[in-house]
This record gives sequence, C-alpha cells and structure tokens, in this order.
Amino acid sequence: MGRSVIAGRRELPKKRNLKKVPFVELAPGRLQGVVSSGSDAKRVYVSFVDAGSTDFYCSTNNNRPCGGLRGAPCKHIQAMIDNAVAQYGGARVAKHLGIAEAADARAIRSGIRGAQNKQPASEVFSRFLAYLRYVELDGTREPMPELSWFVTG
Amino acid sequence: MSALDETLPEGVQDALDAVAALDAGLIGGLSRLGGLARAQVEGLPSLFAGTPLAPALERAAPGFAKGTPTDDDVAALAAARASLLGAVHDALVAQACAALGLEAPADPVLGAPVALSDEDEAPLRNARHWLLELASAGLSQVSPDAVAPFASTLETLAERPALQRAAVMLTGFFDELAEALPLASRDDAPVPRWPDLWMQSVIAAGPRLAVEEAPFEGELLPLGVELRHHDHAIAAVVHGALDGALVRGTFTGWKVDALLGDEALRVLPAPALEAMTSDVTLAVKGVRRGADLLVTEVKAGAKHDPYTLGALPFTCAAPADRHPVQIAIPVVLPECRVSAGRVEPLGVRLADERVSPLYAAKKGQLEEADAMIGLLRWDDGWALQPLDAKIGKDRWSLDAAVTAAKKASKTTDTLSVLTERAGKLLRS
Repeated sequence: MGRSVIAGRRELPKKRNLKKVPFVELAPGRLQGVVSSGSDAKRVYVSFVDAGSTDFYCSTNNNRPCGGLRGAPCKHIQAMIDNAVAQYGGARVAKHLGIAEAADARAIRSGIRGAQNKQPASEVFSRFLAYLRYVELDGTREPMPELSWFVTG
Repeated sequence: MSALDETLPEGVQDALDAVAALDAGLIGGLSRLGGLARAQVEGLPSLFAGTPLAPALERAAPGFAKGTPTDDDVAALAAARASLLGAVHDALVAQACAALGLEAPADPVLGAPVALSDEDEAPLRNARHWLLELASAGLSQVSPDAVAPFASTLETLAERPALQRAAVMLTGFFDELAEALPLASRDDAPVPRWPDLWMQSVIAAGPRLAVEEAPFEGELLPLGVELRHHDHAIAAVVHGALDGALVRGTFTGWKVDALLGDEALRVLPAPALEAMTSDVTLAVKGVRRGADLLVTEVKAGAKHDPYTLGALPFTCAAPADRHPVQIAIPVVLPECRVSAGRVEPLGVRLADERVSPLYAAKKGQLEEADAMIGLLRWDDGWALQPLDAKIGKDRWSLDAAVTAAKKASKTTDTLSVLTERAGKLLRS
C-alpha cells in the first residue's frame, strides 16, 4: 500500500474517564487537557506537556498555579496522560511527545524529564470550550466528498 | 460482469508521474523548488497550454520562479494537480464501466458559482493564506507553531452553514498535521495523502460551481450504508437506487473523539438513523443534485432485498470532486468468494482498511462471505469496500450499530455528559 491515500488503521480507543478528564488533545507540538479537581467539583485544571522538550505545566483556568507542581508533573498531568493513553493508545501519545520506545502510560510518565514552564491556560481552555461546542453544532445534509479521504477517525 | 483489469488505462501512469513531481515540490516547499519538482512546476503552463487553466498558470509562473507564490498562484497549482487526477478518475471510471457492463456516466448539470457573504469569505481567506504558508514552507517542514493558530479559524468555519464542506476538509487536515508534526524525517510525510489533503483543502476554500438542484420525492431502494469519519466529523452515506439510477444521501455530523462506537452515530442530523438501512424501501423527500440526495424526510416502506438489484447507471461527480479517491461504484455480488484477500468474481482486493470500526467486524469474518454488496474503489489498484455481506446464515452490516444508536439512553452516555458540560460552561 505504498501509494495509498488512506491513513492506516489505528488502535481502537477505550473509554476514558470523562468526569476526571473531560478534554484531552494531541495538539500541535503538545499534549494538552483539562482535568477535574479531586476536591472541588467546580474547579478544573489545565495541564500540558510539550512535545520534544517534555516541559510541562498545570494551573487552574484562571492561571493560578497547581499546588501539586514541585518541579515534577502533578497528579493532574498524570491523569491527563493516563486518559490520553486510553483515548489514543500508548504508541500515538509517546510518538506525539517524542518519547522513544515508551508504549504505556507508566513509561510515558517516567519519560517526562523536562522542566516546569509556565504558559497561559486560556488557549487550552478555549480549545476545551470549542471541543464542547462541536457536539452542539448541527451538521449538514450536503454531499461531503471531502470525507472520502477519511475512514478511520 | 468481467473481472477488473489491473493494467492502468493509457495515459494514467504519465498523469500520476506528473502529480508525483508536483508532490515533491509540495513536500519540500514551494519557496525552494529544486530538481524535478522545479522542472514540473515550471513546465505546468506548457503542459496545460490551450486549456482554461493556462492563463492562471502563466500568471503564477513568476511567483514560483522567485519562490514567493501568492494565494492565487498556489490555487492554480492545486487546480492543475486536481485536473490531472480528474483525468485519471475519468479513465479509471471508463475502465470500471467497461468491466461492469455499465454505460459511461453522465455529467451533472452545473449552475453559477455559489455566492457567499462577506462573513463567510473572511475565514476562507484565512484558510487560503494558511494553506499558502504550508505549501511555501513544505508539508514535511512545517512547524507545529505554524499549525496551532489556525484552530480558531476552524472553529469559525464549523459554525457557518455555508462553509461545512470546507470546515470538514480543513479540520481533518489540521488534526492530522497537529498529531504528526514535527516529522522526524522528511520521508515520514504520507505521499500522496498529504498533497491530496492540501489540494482538496485549497479547492474547498476557493470558489465553487453549484450543481443544479431540484426538489424530489420518490422510493429509494437502499443498497447499504458507508461510514466516513475523522476525529471531528462523521458522515453516513446511504447508497441506493431511485428511478432506476444510483444515488446517495449523505448525513454529516460534528463529533469529538470521546464518542465511541454507536454513540458517534447519534450526532448525525435527522433523519439519518431512519435512512440507514438496506432491508426496507424508503419513501424519501428532499432536494436532488445530480446523484446526491439531500434527504429531509424518510418513511420506511415494504421489505426489500438489496441483493436483487442489478447493475444501474450513475451520474459522475462534479468536476471539482473528480479524484480517484471519489470512485465509489456500488456493486451487488449475489454470489461471491473471498480468497487470498481478493473478491471473486470481480478479482479485486477486499478493502478492509476502509471498513469503519463501527461495523464491529471480527477479523477474518468477511473472508467467509458468500454474497456481498460493496463500493468499487481505486487506491493504487482496484478494491471492493464492503457495505453488506451474507456469511452463512449471518448478515454483516451496520444494522446493529444503528439499532443501538436509536435505543441509546439519553441520560447516561458520553454525549449527554458532554452536552451537559457544554450547557453549563458555554453559558456561564
């Protein structure tokens, strides 16, 4: 299938813990997500790990730093990784982050050796709101030949 | 019906070689063309001499020579690449029709360009500019930072009813780049897939000719349902016969990756779930454009056996949509045998890579099929994408997933959790 225009089959996703991690995404150059607080039902944390450097950060959506970050990934980042692995499979997550030879969540977690790197939460949070917005959009009955290239997502 | 020939029709290999040379330019970057890619891009005006594309390609030549092409220049290149593949499409369709004993398909009747509002034009302009940046830098060289900011344009596109096709195309391309970039090596870029996605994105973000449409009402004899999906959209295409010709109705919904299995079918716009069957006739109503039905009403009728439908004529795709990937000719095989991955008596490969995971097919199951309805496709060779199969006493189809989607609880599933979250967060 050297010249095929169809993407290869992917590992089937497993159900992730939606209440714990309502949003996770293989964003350009980083893994990012939104993680529910363990103690306060109204609070969510915004977490990310950069691809390549594996720098990371975690804060509330109002940019208050997560108290669990002490130079190492907090439990929110760990939950994000666990659920990303459920959603996408370990191989896809590890490849996205550039962590060679990691295949499961534990190996990916221990492959994160970057530094704490403060970045605004607003971009990730707005992606989460856009993600939620997708399920409210109407869709269309127009012909959609564009999707002929897409069969596995 | 005779077996399909794997010999390429005359001229097809030349056209594919010309496309491959352009692809080398798109992968490496139009701002620094070299070697065969430069020769191919510079040769486009003479290759297309005497065609309607020639003036646009001549205007584009200085931009490519300087390594600073504009939006219009790359649109001309995309159109040239698309027309080469359009010619490949036409030659392959003629080959398939000859083997299947079908008449060559008729062209759809085209209308005026689709008029868009200024609000619709703005995000499309952004899209064209983004696509220019990608091609200038080279699809294998793009950095994640050049991709990320386009997400906000995608959100605008998806909200606008007139831009759904562009939104679905660009979102699929974006998702794929977001996951794959940066590439470890230039050779990791999927070719011709990424040049295809880039080209079709440029076409989707540009002006389009309307296909003439008219209201219709009639009895649809369904043949089977095809699913197509990427991370953010899913489409069900109901193939069938109406008034003695092949037609299809498409239903596309936006989705997110947390929707698994039959849950994803619930985002399809009504009356998709009622139309997704192959065992009953359907009284349908809506708008017809060539072979495409935009179905707004469906009523189930009498029992019907899709395996009794013979070869039927079909209408060709609109010129902007002619690409080998769009070849999807429904074929009914009342008796078949799969051996060594090939479907007899057609003699083509079983395209199991095209079977959506929503069919829940067990590995190897389709190899036991005694009868099959499928779509004849071409992807570097002929293949049959199964839609429905009889395996001994069992039936292989999408029916179970559709039934489950219809019955799904409205309160405890993923879609409800997300909709509830959306309701609170988007309005707080």
